[in-house]
Amino acid sequence: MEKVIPKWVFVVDLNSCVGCNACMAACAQENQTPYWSNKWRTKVEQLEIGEFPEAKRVFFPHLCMQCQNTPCYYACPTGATYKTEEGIVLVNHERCIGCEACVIACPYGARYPYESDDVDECEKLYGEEARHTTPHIDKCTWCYHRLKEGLEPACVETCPTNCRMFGDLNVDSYVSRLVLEGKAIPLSPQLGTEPKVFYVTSKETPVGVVSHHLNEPPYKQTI
Amino acid sequence: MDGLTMYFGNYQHFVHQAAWGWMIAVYLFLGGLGGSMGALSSYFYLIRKEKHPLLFGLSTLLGIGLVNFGGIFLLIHMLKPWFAFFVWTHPTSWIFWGASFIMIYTIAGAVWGLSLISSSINFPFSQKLKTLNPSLVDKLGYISGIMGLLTAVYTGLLLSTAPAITLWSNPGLPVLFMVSALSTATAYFMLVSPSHIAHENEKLDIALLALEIIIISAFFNYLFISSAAGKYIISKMLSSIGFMGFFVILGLITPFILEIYAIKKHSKSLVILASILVLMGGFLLRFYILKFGYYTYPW
Ligand code: SF4
Ligand code: SF4
Repeated sequence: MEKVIPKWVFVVDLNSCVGCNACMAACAQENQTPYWSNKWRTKVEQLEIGEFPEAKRVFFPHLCMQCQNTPCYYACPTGATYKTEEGIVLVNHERCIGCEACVIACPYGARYPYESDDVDECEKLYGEEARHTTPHIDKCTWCYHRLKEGLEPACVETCPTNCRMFGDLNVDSYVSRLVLEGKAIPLSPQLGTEPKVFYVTSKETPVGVVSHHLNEPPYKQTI
Repeated sequence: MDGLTMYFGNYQHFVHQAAWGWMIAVYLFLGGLGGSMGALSSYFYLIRKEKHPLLFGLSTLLGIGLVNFGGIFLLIHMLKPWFAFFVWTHPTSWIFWGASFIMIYTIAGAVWGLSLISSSINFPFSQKLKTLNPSLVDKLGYISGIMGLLTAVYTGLLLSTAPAITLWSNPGLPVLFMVSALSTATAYFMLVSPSHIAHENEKLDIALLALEIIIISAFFNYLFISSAAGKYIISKMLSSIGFMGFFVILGLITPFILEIYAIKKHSKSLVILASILVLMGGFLLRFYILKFGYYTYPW
């Protein structure tokens, strides 16, 4: 039988994020990311929008978009950034020289340097279990090691409000329908990166992509 | 977060890129200057037939030295510079091509430059170099010139692959960097050449500076009409004393005017002052292009 390669997608429902940051903690634990240097593979932005008395605080989770058309991959001269057959973008820690061409190329702020101080701290904290043993550029892998075992990414499993959802477009599910029916949209599609993270927008939480796509909205204010 | 723009309830954040700072600016500046020194040396010697082998040979060697010295800044900036040779792995990356251009420029330019100076200066191998087939030496001169020019263009291409950085990801940047690089190398030749060559170079530099002023104006226009990000960047640029005062006025417009005067008055001191300002402007251009590299994040 022909092997079916999964078409994984990630959906973030902006209606249900409450800003608890459990996803960030789960990711840091699962992937030994340097929270001690305030560097994260996934982040929940807290945005304050509007003005008093109508000011609101909204939350905007983001992570590596696993772009189908992948600027970081094209920018990497060493081949350290590579793609799996499922299209997951990974970094070979040994091969990465830390030139940061990929950091510059990523339109979604998904990459950060795992510097030698961070490696020292990681080794101190995790001892023999440490998985970051050489300086490199780090990024979210959608927990590829877990996906291979049939598990969901750690952040998805942890999210108490189901704001983060994971699915396979080959399989009919709530997640795949959100994407295929266009109810969840990607960020900055005009850049042509074909992200595989899709957002269900909410009235409260804006997605800049809508206005950016139109390109010439009336310019109102810069604060 | 550096800026937040709102329209119709949708938001964009403009966040300054923090990855590449002044060290990369030095790399880009020396890459452009050193590469263009080789390109112009080949052009002057082989095409314009200026028979000053010592001047153009030494200038090519100095150009190679500057490019490679600039490369050290890129290496220092890396997390693992000792594995830098891995850059010759993945040809979709501009760093792969830049490293290749620099390597070929270094080899071809070194042999060409050394053979040009071998008639005036004795050094180990100089006798051997004199026996090289002249047409082979010329071919190396052309290769060195082309690779020098490509090195200068590469410095702009390197930045243009960041899709979310409005100021960088446009086809104008490599052209701007190339013109500016040629202008800085012309300034170098105005400083070191005998007066009749320097005089020719003044005209060339005036043309290059005029072109650079047009390109910078076109950039302003592009930023102003393109998007909210463009407007945000241009507001930052116009309010920056360093960019407007030191780059645009002192590093670009002043030398342009000084060089026009210098031609009329045949003043060597004005030429020297203009050349120094052009070189300063070349570095500041790259420094500020990196400084005004703002990502547009859709959240
Ligand atoms: S989000 Fe950034 S790091 Fe992730 S695949 Fe896209 S360009 Fe690469
Ligand atoms: S920092 Fe590492 S992963 Fe990024 S482009 Fe350079 S070598 Fe590739």
